[in-house]
Amino acid sequence: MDWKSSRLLRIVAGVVLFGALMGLRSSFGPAWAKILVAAVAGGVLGVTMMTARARNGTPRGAAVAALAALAALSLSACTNLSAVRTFATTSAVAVENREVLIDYAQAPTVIARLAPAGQAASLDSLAKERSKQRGRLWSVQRVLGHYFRTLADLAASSLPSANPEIGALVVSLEDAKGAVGASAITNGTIDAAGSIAKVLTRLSLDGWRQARVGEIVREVDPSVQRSVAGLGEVVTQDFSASLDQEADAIRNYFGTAFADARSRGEEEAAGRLARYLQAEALDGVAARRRKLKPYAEALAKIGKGHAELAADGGKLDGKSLVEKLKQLSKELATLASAAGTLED
Amino acid sequence: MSNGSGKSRAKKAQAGPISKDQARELGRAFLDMAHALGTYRFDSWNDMTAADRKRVEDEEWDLLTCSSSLTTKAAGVVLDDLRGDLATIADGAARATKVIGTIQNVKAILKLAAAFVALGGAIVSGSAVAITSTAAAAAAAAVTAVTPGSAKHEA
Repeated sequence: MDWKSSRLLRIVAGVVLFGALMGLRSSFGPAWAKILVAAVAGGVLGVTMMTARARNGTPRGAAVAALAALAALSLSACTNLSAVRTFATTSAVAVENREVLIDYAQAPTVIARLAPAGQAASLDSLAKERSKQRGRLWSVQRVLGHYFRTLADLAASSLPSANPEIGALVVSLEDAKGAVGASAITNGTIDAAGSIAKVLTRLSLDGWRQARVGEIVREVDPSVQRSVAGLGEVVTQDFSASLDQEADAIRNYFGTAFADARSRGEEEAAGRLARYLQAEALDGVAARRRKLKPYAEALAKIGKGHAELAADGGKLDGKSLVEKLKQLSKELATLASAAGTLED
Repeated sequence: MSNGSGKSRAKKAQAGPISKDQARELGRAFLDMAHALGTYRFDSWNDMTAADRKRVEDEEWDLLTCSSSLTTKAAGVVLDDLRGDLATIADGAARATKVIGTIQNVKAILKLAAAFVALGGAIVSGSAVAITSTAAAAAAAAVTAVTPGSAKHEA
C-alpha cells in the first residue's frame, strides 16, 4: 500500500470513528446500525493502525490513548445503567407485598368471628368482595413488579454477551493481513484493534440502551406515578381504615365481656382474662399496621425514583441522578425489609 | 330489626355512585359513631336494660359493617381508575422486552461487521477473487442479520 492510500484510509477511518462516537450516545437510529457502525469503525481503526505501523512503525501510543478514551466513555455508560438496574430491581422486590393484601382481604372474616350471628351474611359478602379486590391489587403489584424487572433486565450489563462474535471480528482483521502486508502487522496490533471494536460495540449498546430506557421510562412515567400513588392511597387510607375497624370490633367484643364481668363482680377473673385477650388481639392489629407505613413509603420512593429517571430525559448522564438512584435503592431495601417483602 | 337495616345500609353503600373520598369520609363517620355508641354502652352498662344494651350493640355492629363496606367501595373505585394506567405500564414492559430481543441480535450484527472488515481488507488488496468471495460472505451475513429470528437461531 502506498503512502497516499494509507493517508486516505486513515482519513476515512477518522471520519467513520468520529461519526460513530457522535452517533453512539444519541437516541436516534436502530440498534443494529449503531452496533454495525461501532464494530466496523473499530475494524477500520485497526486496519488503519496496521497501515500506519507499516509506514512509520509507531501506532501503539495512539491506539492505547484511543482505547483508554473509549473505555472511559464505556465505563461511564455502564455505571449509569448499573444504577438504573439496582433501582429497578429493588423497586420490583419492594412493590410486590402479598402480606398486606392478605390482611386487608381477611379483615371481614376476622370481624365475623367477633360479631353477632346476624352480621354473618353481610360480612361474608364483604369477604368475597375483598377476596376479588385482593386479586386485583395483586395484579397491580405484579404489573409494576414485572415492569421494573424488565427495566432491570434492559439495563443489565451482562445482557449482550457477544465475545465469540467479537473474536470472529479479530479473526477477520487477521485475515486482512494479506491485504495490508503481513510483515507490518503484529499480533499485538490485531489485539488492540479487536479491543477497540469491543469497546466501541459496548459503548454503542450502552448508549442505545440508555436511550431506550429513557424513552420507555418517560412514556410510562405518568401511569407509574398514578399507579404507585393509587396503591399507596389504598394502603394508607383503606388498609389502615380496615385495621381501625378490626380494632374497634375487638374492643366491642372484649369490652362487652369485660363490662359484663364487672357488672357481675367477676372483674378479677373473667374481666382480667377479657382484658388480656383484648390486649393480645390489639397487639396483632398493631403489628400488621406497622408494616403498612414502610410499604407506603417504599411506594412513594419508587414513584420518586421513576420520576427522577423520567425527568432526566433518558440521558442518565448526571452524577447527581446516579447518586440519587443509589440512595433511593438503599432506602427502598430498608423499607422493603421492614414491610416484609425482603428477607434480612 | 337492626340486622335488616344494617344489610340495607351496606347494600346502599355498595350500589350507589359514590366517590372514593365520599366513601372514606362516610366510612370514617360510621366507625366513629360505632365507637361512640360502644363507649356509651360500656359507660352506662348498669343503667341500661339487657334489651337496650343488645339493641345498641347491634347498631354498633351494623355501623361497623357499613364502615367496612364503604372502605371496600373506596378501594374498588381506586382499582377501577387504575385500569388504563396498568395497561400502559404492561405495554411499557412489553416494549422493554422487545428492546432486549433487539439487543440479542447483536451477535448477527457482529458477524456482519466481521464480514465487512474482511471485505474492506479485500478491497484494499485489490484482489478481484478476494473481493468477490468476501462480498458474497458479507451479503450472506447481511441476510442473516436482517431476517427476523435468525439471530436467535444462530446463537
